[in-house]
Amino acid sequence: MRVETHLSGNLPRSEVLFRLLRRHSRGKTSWEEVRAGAERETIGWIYFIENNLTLVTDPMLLWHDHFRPFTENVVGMEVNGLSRWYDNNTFYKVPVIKSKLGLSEPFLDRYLFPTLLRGRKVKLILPDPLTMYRLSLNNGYSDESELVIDLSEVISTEAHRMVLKWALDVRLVQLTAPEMARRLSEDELVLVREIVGSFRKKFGCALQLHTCFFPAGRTLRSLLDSGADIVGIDLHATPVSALKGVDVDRELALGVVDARSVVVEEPNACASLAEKAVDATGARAVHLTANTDLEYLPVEVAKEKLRVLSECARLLRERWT
Amino acid sequence: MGPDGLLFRTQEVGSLSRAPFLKGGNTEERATQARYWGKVLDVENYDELVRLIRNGIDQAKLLRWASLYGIRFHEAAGLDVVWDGEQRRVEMYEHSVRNVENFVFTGRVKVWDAETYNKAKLVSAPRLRSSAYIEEFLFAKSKARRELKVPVTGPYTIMDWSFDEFFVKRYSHLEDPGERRRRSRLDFLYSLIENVMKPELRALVEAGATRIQVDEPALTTKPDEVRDYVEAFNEMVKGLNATWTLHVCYSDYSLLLPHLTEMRIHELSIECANRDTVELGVEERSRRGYSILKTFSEQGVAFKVAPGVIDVHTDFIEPPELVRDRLLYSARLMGDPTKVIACNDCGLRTRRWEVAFEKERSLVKGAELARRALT
Repeated sequence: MRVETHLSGNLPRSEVLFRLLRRHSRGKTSWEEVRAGAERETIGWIYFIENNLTLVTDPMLLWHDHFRPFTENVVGMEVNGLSRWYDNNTFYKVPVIKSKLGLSEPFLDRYLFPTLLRGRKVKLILPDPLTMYRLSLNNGYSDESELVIDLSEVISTEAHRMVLKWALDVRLVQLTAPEMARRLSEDELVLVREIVGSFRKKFGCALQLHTCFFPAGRTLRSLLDSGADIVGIDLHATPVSALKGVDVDRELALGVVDARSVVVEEPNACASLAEKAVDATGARAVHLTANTDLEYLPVEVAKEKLRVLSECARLLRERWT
Repeated sequence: MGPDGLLFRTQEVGSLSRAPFLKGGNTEERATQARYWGKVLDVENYDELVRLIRNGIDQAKLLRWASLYGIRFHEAAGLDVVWDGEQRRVEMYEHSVRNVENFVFTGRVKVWDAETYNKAKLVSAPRLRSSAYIEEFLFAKSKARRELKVPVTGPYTIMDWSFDEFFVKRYSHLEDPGERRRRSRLDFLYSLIENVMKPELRALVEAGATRIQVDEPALTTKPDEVRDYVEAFNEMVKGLNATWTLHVCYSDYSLLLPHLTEMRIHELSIECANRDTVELGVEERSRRGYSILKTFSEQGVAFKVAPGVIDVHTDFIEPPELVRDRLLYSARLMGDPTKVIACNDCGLRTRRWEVAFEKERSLVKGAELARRALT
């Protein structure tokens, strides 16, 4: 059984970077200084990730929330007030759809550090268009399906032009999709298939739909039927018993490490949890991840959790060979 | 007439940014700030503070001066019910948790954008070490010229904003993570109420606090816990004679219903301006931030509502006419102007004093315009 390890979301900023960002928001330091600070931390994180996980992801330290690079730059979209990010003490700024969406100048590489990703096997993490649609305020489209497809188009096109520009070796694209575990109608499943097809075609690599915060049992079958190569499950929201009987004829990403708890898991316990999930579903391969963004944790705890993932993978590889 | 009988009574939510003379800069700059604001706010003996800053002053004394400036800040702006701007508090969560045994701070985590807080983990049952509020209340009571409202951080928010390493272990044998979470959080909540909140609130009431605001910005975080919280809150305030305000912000308030109607509160303070437009007008299109009040009214809530008419996350100074229209629209939705209090969305901690002061003055002027419009 193949065992991979990667991030399923962003990583925490240091207190130094938070201070820099606050100073910038008050006009007391330049954006160049902020980028330089974020770059230093990104270098450290990438080194750490490379030593512990199988795919490298930019820690997304300049993303204020899951949507912000897009909310701030996509034509036809504006930033509104704060709203709670699911059941967390974390808030995002609501995207407001004002008119037909479109792209102008490339922007995503201002929020990431693609030069640091070159020459590495990369996992790219992007917002799921359906989730973004549900968490936006739509004042611009009468046809909501058209809006979801246009969101999919702007997200995938912008990310893809960055990948081409910097010649990145992207092996996996993740769409972070808490809403897909929450509920999914038949009509929306059609949209999800279209989104998945579009991203897979554009990037030519594996696609992961990553769910979190909600038990995945209800919609897992539908997500497996969507054409996604990997479906991510939050095992700190989903009891393994809820997975029993779902025939997983593909790969699962298992959020075995809880990014919202400071209790550092035992690698053995994580390995047992992953084994149970595989026994319940018959998954073909396993991707070990945190259940969601690690930004909910202090930096040192996040690092501990990633080390646990690495050790858990080692244990599973031993057991499964 | 006391504040309760006043139409569109004006009040704040709690915090201000730190007094300018507490912030960085050299001694002379801080002394200049103390003199400037002392004059503006009509602070008694402010020259004494200027002298002390120049000659050296310990932090405890400086914080008492900041507390006095905070009280005068709100009084000078013209508010009917005031507080000291939480000048002695680092931040609402940290201030409360510092005084409770068995919380260990783990470092700063993000709330939004670049805003963070110092998040603690609970490692054993919480026990109140010393009151977080009594000393500041007694000082404020000795100085205030207007009625006081004491803001205290609520138990749900303390629980939700903390990591739990203690209660969660009780339920590690449960397979369902949802059930593990629900049970351990309920234990955490009741433990805070019994061991921390009840002694704090009893002491405040015995010391003469008549208005207490329980800050629960986290309350809608897990909607399935609202019913439990309402029961816990009612238990917490049972037998304590005070006017109780519940403050919730940046939340989907519909999640509080229907349980909120059973809550033993006199006032509900919520953020609305942040989700409103800045256009003048008293119709739904321009006043989209206040629609929840209609739902409250339809549910027949007994409490008064303090909808935020001042957005605390922008430097934009709301014109009094905008404040007026927000209040008049709120009154219309509630079906009774006496059930509406004029208030900010939340504490003004993120605004400079210059901006915060103008905002509070607009709040007072706008409330006066709203009163005139109805008489």
